[in-house]
Parts: sequence; structure tokens; C-alpha cells
Amino acid sequence: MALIDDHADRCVYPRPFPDGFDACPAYQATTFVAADSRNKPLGTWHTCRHLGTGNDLENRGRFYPRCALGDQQQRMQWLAQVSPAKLDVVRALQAEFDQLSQPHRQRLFDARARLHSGPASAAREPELERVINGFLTTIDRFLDENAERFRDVGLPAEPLRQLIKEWVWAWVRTPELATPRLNEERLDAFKSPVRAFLGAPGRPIEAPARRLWDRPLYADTILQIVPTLDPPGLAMVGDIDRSNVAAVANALARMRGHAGDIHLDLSGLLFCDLGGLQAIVRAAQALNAGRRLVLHGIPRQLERALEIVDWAPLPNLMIAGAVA
Amino acid sequence: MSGVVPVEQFSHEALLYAGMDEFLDGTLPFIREGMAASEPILVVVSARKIAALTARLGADAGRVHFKDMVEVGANPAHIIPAWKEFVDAYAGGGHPLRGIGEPIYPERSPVELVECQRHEALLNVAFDDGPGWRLLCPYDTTALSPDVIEEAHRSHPVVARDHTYARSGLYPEVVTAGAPFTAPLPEPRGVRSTLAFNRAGLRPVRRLVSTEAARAGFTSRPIADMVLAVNEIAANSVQHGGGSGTLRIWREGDVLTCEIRDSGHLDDPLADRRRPAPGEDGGRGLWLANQLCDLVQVRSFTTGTTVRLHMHRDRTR
Repeated sequence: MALIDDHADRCVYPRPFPDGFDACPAYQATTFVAADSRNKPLGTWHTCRHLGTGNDLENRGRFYPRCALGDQQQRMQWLAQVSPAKLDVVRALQAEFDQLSQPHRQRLFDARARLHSGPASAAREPELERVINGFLTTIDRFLDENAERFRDVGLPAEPLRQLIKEWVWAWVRTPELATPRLNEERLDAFKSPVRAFLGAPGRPIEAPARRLWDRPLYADTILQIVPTLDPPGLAMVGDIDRSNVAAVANALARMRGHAGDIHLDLSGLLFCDLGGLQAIVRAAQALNAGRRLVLHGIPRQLERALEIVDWAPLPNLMIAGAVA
Repeated sequence: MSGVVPVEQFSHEALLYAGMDEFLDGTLPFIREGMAASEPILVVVSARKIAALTARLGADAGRVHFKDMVEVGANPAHIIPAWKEFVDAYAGGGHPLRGIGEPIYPERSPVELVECQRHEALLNVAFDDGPGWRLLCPYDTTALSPDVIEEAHRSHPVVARDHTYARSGLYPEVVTAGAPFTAPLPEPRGVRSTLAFNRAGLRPVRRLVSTEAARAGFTSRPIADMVLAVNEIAANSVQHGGGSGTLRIWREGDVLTCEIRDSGHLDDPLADRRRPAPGEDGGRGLWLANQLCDLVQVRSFTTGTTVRLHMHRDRTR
């Protein structure tokens, strides 16, 4: 068998991730403490919450760095579903928590190393419990102080508190270097796209329309315009702004030649400025009576921008369903 | 009691009062005079003052339109469009109009106060050549500092106190439309991020705003609002402001500020007060920014334009 890399979900970025890494739009930094075989910490690295290992069955069981979110398009789709703003909130919370928990994790590391070194001793448990309780108190305070931000990103404080508590205890009791698995039942408390914030495998992200990825109508560094088959129309994936609004208007104008309604799949849209909204509205206005431009998966924020600038509602423009 | 200015033109009058009793004493005759002449009347003051006025007016209160200043004018840039709406709706009715508006109250933050004073000055420009109406702006002398009262003398050609209306000696002979535009803004104490941008793209601008707003503790909706607002202002810089600009971001207490500077010049002092007509292309950036942010400061000089967008972390809207 040829050594062809056919893993679309391979992480293509350099690892370990450098400080301030931002090349991958879905990157979610989390610190990773490496340790030697005696549980002595070797150092702290940045890794990504979505990074795991894939098993290359075709290639005699070798492993490869696998993105849990899927391939590049699925990563964009996931990001659009959770919204870039929410990912930034999670990133900020993670960074604040990393800083806050640093001394606790150090103490915990030392205590765990003592627990698992030498013969099992019940005498060490109280010390460990003190360290853990100190850590959990800090976590409690952090969750309370930031309850609104956690709720905003779909991570309600109570189930999160339970999850972290169990995870900390499991980590201490696991002598192996591997981090313990997350409790699947606990994860059910969180909805599908945001489960990925916790490093849990999500369900595959589905777009409202079947897309033809192999030949985008238009592509630049921030936007791809992809034809869709069912329903017929276009999918916009990425950012629409003044740099590519002309391409958007052109693509929409070309659709006018087709019969029936035109469907716009916006579920992969990360940003759209006023000019982009205007191009969409203009395209709807240019349709003959009876034909409609139907918007699918429009992000809430865009709907609001439409209201503020007084463009909606229009007879030829229909909003088919919004995502949070 | 009657005004010293004929109502064929806009008359912007300050009312100096001390405490609630004097407020009622100064505004009730103004309202009743308008009622006697069948004039449409809009009063935009605090909820507490609306309650006091309606109690004193009794059954007549139904003939007056009331609006809560905190709802209309938390962002002072929204007040002129509100008056414009009132004037447009009633000016054709054959009667002059009158209004009472109290945009300046002690709870205003220093930045809001500056923008309220700019608003007071802009009123003279906004309604200068429109239909005739009287606008009375109450100032509480017991709660506001003397320099705020002095500034009221500069922005109102007529000042009333104890039922006496008189021309203000401090009101300039010639109103220079650009003047309210050129008051300098104070330098921020600590800038967190600075980014130059140009035609090459605004994605880095959006990323930086989103990241900084998240780090400042904002939730996703105000973050997305701020990103869109900054994007539109930066797009203006690229399109009309010399093709490039500089973004600076800082925090002061719970307020996040994004500032966009470019080398362009805005010659319309009311650029951020006009509601864009439906179907109008462009010109929506400043309007949108004022809808999305808590406060927007615009200053323009021949050397360049500065726009500051302020967003409070504990936003209730």
C-alpha cells in the first residue's frame, strides 16, 4: 500500500504550537504539562483542545495528528456554528484559568508524584485532599465570577463544576501519564457544537445544503463561494467584507439565470459586513416577482444588523432559519 | 411669560433650576403655554420627572408626549434623530412645536458629559434652517458643576432662570458648524493594542477587536457588535480616509474603547446623527456604530479623523 496521506482531518500546523499561534481559526490553546516516567514535570507546552491522534489503519497502524473537528471545511463550519466571538470568549477564559491554576497544578503534580511513588500509603491522602480542595475552591470562585461568560458560550456552571471535579480526582488517581477520559454522561449536559470546547468529540457538522467542494466558484484567503446542489444555490464559507463583496455580488448575479428560488447557505459564514448584506439584499430585489432569495443558517448577529439598517423584511428575501 | 425669539425659527433655550420644585416651576408654564396654543409637545426627561410632571398636569398630561431620556439618550447621538422624528412628524400641522429635553444629568460619565455638550452644540446646527420650534433644556444648578452651567450658556442662545428669559452673552455671534467637531480628546492612559491597517484587508482588525473584547470579559453578542462597528468605521478609513488607518484598543474600568484614526476629513458635523434613508448606499457605518455601541466620539480636523467606539461590559440592552 502506498504511503499516501489521505487524512483530511490531519492537523497541518506546526506543533508544539508557538506562543500567540493564530494560523488555525479553530485553534483552542490549552496547556499541557509533560512529565517523565516518575511523574516529574518536564515543562509546559501549548496544545490544541481539538488535537488528538488518529489511527492510520491503512498504514500499518501508524498514528497521525488528528483534528477532532474534521477537515478544513468542517473546522470552518464548526467555527461558524459556535461563532468566532464565542471561541474568543472560551480562549480568553482558558488563558485566565491557565494563569490562575498554574500554582495549583504545580502542587497537584508534586502531590500526585508522591502518591504514586513507592508503596501505597494512606497517610498521603489527606495532604492530597488538601491540595485538591484548595484547587477546587479556586475553580469554584473562577466559575462563579465568570458565570455569565460560561453561560454565554453554552457551558453552564453546574455541570462544568461537576465535570472538572471528577476530572481532577481521576487525574490524581491515574498513575499513567495519559490524561483520563472525560465522562461521557457528564458531557451530555452540553450541546453538540460546544462540546468540542471541552475536547469532546462532537457529531459531524452538517450544512443545510449539499455542497460541491471540489470546484468553488470563488476563493480567496478569507472566503469560499461554493455551489450547492440540494437545494440549488450557493454556500458562503468564511468572511464577506469590502475586499470580496464584488465577487459575492457577481456570484449572486450569475444565479439569476437559473429558474426558481435561489438558496443561500450562510451556515459557514464567519462574518459579513454591511456591504455584504447590501449585496445580498440587492440580489433579492433584482429577482422577478414570485422568485425568492432564501437565506439558510443565517447567524443571529447578521439578522440583527439587517434590522438595524432597516433592510428587512423584503418580499423577495426569506430567512429560513437561524442558528444561535 | 413668552419667548424672546419668534417661533419662525428654532429656539434653543436653557432653563437653570435648583431642585425638583424649581424644575416644575420652570417647565409647567412652558408646557401649559404650548397647550394653550395647541402646539404638539414632546418632553424627554428622567422617569422620575415624567412622573412628577404627569401628576401636576393631571388630565392634561395626555396631550403631551413623554419619553424617558435614559431610554432615548443613553447614547447622546440618538437624541437629535429622536427630535428630528418629532419635528418631521408634527411640523406640517400648522402649529409651532415645543420640546423639553434634559440630556445632562449628574449620573453621566465624563465621556458621556463631553458628548452631551457636543450634542447641545450640534442641536443649533441640526435645526438651524428647519421649521420653527422651541426646545427648553433644563440644567440642575444644585447637581451640576459651574463649568457645565457655563457651557450651557455657550450652547444656548437663550437662558431662562426664575421665569426670566434672556439672551446668553456667551453664545457665539456666528455659529461655526465645525466647532463641536474639533474639541480634542484626551490621550488614553494605557493602550493595550495598536494595529495599522490598509486596503490589504480588515480581517486582522476584526480578529484583534474580538480577541481584546473577549479578554476584557465581554460576552459574544457585544463582541460581535463591536467587531461589526469597528469593521465599518475601518472600512470608511480605507474607502474615504486615505486608504489606511490605525486601530488602538484600551480599557478604562469596565469600558472597552476602540479608536480608529485616518487621514481623511469629515466635513459634515452631523455625519453621525442622520438616520440613513432606506435604500441609500453607504453612509451607514457611523449610524450602525451608534446603534451597536454605548457611545461613539467623532472628531475631525483637516489633518485627520478620529472615531472612538466605547462599549460598557455590563450592558443591559
